[in-house]
Amino acid sequence: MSYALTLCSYFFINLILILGVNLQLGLLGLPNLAFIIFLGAGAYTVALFSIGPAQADSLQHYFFGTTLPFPIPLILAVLVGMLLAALVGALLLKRMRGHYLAIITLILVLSTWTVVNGIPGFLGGANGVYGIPQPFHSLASSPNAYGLIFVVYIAVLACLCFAFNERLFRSPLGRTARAIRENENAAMALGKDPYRIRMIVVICGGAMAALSGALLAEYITLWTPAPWSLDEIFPAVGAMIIGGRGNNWGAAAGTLVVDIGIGQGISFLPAVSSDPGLSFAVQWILEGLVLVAFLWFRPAGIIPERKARWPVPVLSGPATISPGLVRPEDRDTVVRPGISGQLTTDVARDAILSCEGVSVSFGGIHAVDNASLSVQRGSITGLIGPNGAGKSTLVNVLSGHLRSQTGRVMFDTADTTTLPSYRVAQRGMVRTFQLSSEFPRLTVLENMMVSADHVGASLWTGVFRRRRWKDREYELLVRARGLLDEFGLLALADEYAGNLSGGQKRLLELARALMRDPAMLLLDEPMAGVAPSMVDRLVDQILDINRRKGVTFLIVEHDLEVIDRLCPTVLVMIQGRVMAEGNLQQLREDERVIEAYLS
Amino acid sequence: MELFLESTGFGLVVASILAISSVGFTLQWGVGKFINLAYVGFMGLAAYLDHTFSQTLGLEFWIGAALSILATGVLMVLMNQFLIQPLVRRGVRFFDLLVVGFGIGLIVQYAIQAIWGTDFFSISVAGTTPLNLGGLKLTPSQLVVIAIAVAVMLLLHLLLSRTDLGRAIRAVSVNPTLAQSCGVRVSYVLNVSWFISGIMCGIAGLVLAFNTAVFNSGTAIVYFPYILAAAMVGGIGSAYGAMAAAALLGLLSEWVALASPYFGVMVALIAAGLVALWRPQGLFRSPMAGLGGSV
Amino acid sequence: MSSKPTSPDGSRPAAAAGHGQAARLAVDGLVAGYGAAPVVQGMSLVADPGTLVAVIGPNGSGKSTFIKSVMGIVKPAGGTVQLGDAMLQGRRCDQIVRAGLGYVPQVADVFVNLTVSENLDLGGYLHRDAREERQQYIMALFPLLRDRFKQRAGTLSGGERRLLALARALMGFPTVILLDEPSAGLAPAMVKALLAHLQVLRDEAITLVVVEQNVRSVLSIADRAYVMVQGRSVLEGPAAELAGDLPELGRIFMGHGTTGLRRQPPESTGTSTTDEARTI
Repeated sequence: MSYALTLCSYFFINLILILGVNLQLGLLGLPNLAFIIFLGAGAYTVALFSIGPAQADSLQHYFFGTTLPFPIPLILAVLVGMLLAALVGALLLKRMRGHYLAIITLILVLSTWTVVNGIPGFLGGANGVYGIPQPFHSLASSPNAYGLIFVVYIAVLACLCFAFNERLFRSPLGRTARAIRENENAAMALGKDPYRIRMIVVICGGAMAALSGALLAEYITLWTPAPWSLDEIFPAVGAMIIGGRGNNWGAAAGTLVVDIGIGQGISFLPAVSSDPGLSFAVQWILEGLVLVAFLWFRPAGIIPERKARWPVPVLSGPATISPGLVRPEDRDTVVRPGISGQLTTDVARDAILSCEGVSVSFGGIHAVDNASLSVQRGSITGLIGPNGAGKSTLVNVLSGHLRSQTGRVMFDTADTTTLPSYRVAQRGMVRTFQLSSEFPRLTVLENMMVSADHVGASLWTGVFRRRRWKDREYELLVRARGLLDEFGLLALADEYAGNLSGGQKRLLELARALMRDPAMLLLDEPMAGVAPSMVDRLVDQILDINRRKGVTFLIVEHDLEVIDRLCPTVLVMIQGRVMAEGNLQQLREDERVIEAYLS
Repeated sequence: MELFLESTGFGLVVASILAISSVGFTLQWGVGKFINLAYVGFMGLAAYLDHTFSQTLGLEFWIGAALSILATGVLMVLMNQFLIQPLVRRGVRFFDLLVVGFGIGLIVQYAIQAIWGTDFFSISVAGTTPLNLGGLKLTPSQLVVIAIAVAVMLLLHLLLSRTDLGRAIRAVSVNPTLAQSCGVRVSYVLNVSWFISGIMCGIAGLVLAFNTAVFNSGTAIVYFPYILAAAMVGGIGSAYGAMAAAALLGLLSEWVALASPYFGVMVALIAAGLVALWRPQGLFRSPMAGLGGSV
Repeated sequence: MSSKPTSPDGSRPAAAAGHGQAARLAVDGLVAGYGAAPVVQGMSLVADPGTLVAVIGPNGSGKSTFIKSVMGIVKPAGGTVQLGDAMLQGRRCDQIVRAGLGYVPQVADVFVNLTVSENLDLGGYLHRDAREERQQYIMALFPLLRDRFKQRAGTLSGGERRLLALARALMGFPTVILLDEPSAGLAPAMVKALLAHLQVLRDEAITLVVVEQNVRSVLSIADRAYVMVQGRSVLEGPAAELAGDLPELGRIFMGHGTTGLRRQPPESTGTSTTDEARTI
């Protein structure tokens, strides 16, 4: 009986940790290995706030101690975890990604561990602290009864974390996190601020890691540097990978397999279990082998991340989408052109996007050299030019993905020169990329749903105020399905976007951009890699969108036939600056332009 | 002053061990584009193999050493060919490969424990009575270690700068496609560079055992932060950078250890952290070199 | 054999070219590219020994991918590449280089961490014995590199790097050298120097296939030219002829279609300066 209770306790304690790891690594794809520090910090905090100050004659030495009643030390532990996570996030997250983040958090873990282990008087050094009181002890009459109470206590907390995580994963915030994981630049082009999401995720993950550590400390009543050494990162991450990343049931499965299955399975091997040193070693070896086996045969884990699904709305037949479907209070109001494209002459002459004197150079080469242009509201304007003329660089400056060294960029009456790309997107400009930028491991429908701004994108509303955003969700769902239908992609709604053909991906990119009801679309080589039949469809869609919704287009293209069909006005960029403007017919006769193309 | 000189002597020994191990480690990072977290595990394995060959099987000392070094080289190549490359082909992402490396390291470390137990052992290559060399107190064993390090660095330098293979390795680390258009068989060169770094791993493991009075499966693990730091401070993939960084960190950490034994390693970690934050291309490379990780 | 060639600055190289057997490069119906819509959609090209063949065309026409797929850097999905008797399509890049093709890429064209001398050594990776002599020959052709022999390639200017890349390709005794937009990013003076070098090489009976944006310049030195649009050849013929109708080329480039496709068989390469017998 008590053995089963012990197993359950370890299960729930580890589950909380793995849920936190899954939040960072699985949902957001952030290789922040410092979570093990937060685990230790949570444990030390609950210890220091419940064992009282260090006694002169005792064997343990630490710098601070007090006795506070339950549950204050626990709450403080979680807060300390969150604080440390915020510090680490602020220090690192703006600068580094990918494996560099992994390495530097590794170094951080090693450093912190060395300091704590090496200074005897700080947190007990290598010997740690002991005598941590267990909560609810007074309620139990026997050790077995206490075991049960403790399991219930941790189980409740674990279930709360599970529920929190589930809500978070399914909320618009979770969706945004997944999008950032898949393609950060594309997510920024849809108005998402990746740094904010990272901080939220890291702090929540830190809270869970600290909670797990605190509970573990309470369970074993002592705490040393051993349980949060560098090695311990491995079973935690391994459990997430084995169980299935990106979903909470996967986290549970992983915890079961790694901590319970392997940990306890050893005891069924008599040759091994008799020797404690050997069984300890074999446990590690087995964990490593199981992990490699999973990565080899089933990298998605036991329970793979499932596709996001929505119920099919009650509307039947193709929905007619009116651009005004978005609730005004849910988005920034941006001055928008008329719906049908019949613009007043005043508005018609108005430039929605302009830049002047923009220059960008890379290591002495002027990619963009004092370039100026303006795009008329409601027009479809082309941007052409030979290779190396600087078109893509200029587009990056216009969309905020690159900062110009000089000059000014004005979008829709606002100066956007210094704005980062997600702010420009929030103001109503969406751009696409040369390489198709769909979110490959999200479904087509999810790609659409993540695009628009959402009141549920904040943590509080997303997790705790579900009713508030459910309506918006429904509305977006109807709109998304309608757009997909218009684009002929509705049948693929539940397909992974990465499985679509090149042309379908481009269509999806366009439809996804439209979910934001943008004033302007900046398309960077939209026909690249698209089969000829699809090109026609894309061209028709662009013309339709411009006519019906008045969206302005700036299109960079090499395929001059496409430019001919789409753009009454064409800008020519030669050697870093905009040299000519006119319709394609005129430009074809223009000697300068021909010269530029031929040399 | 006396203590300072003494610790300088230790510093030279640590620097020697560190130089051999970090050069091998950084080669894998720079050429194979793989951060091998199992590296220190294999260092320990080399020492245990040597102990088995020499003590248990009674082979001649240097034959046993050569065998264990070769074995480590071969194991590294096998790991690349049969574990890492297949996983890469299956599309396993980089972070997961890091975890795999970590896991392999743990497997090796604990396999050693399972097979050989946790007892300490020692390998001595020469005498253990310290000689006084102008203030530096070094044992003959330690002098051998330093000599080996110098020899290995020299050989590596000759390989990289004078031979076709060395140039091919350096070329592959910066531009494999261009190397192919020179007729270089890139997969072969990759395997060779893994072999070389495995050899260096083996030598480093043995040299560490020579220098440590008593050695067990946990001894080499302690070196991990130093090796990582030396590779990062020297610039990823830069063999010469790693050598210079090893010398620097080896000496510095021993000097700091005079004040407090625990914090020698902090020097390495702080150096690595600072470099990662503010000069990611390494101390000795220009910022224009970028993070390309060329040898 | 043609008379002893001179390098652009008038000096004579010490050793003769001594390169590989002359062979004809014939590419037929090559298909290559990424994903469902291949960028190269059936490109054919013939380069007779000792000629300079230009491949021109608008952006996005697949010229760069074409070169890469001939070299084996991108795997062709269809079509054949024949050098002399040997079928090269489907082989690994280093095997194709072994067979006699050389490559000068558009970007990342030198090993920036190696010196000029080491770059050349790598170029001669497959020809260890002849390396010394070959280097002398190349130093005579490229005196600029001689002065920078021990310099790290990363410190060279763009134009110098391009010359080094060409020299490196030459070290491998190639039968045919393929160049991907060699004038890209170079100042006009450097472009002139580079093209002069190409002419010298062509005079040395090395076949050159040059993809270029700079139509005027490349047509002025080429023997034959192909116009590549949307993955295939739409116009081909003697370079002089194509150069004579630049407005037509301009129209093709700007997507106005061709006023009648003209396909001329490759026998009539009257502008070739070599007397070398054609390979079977």
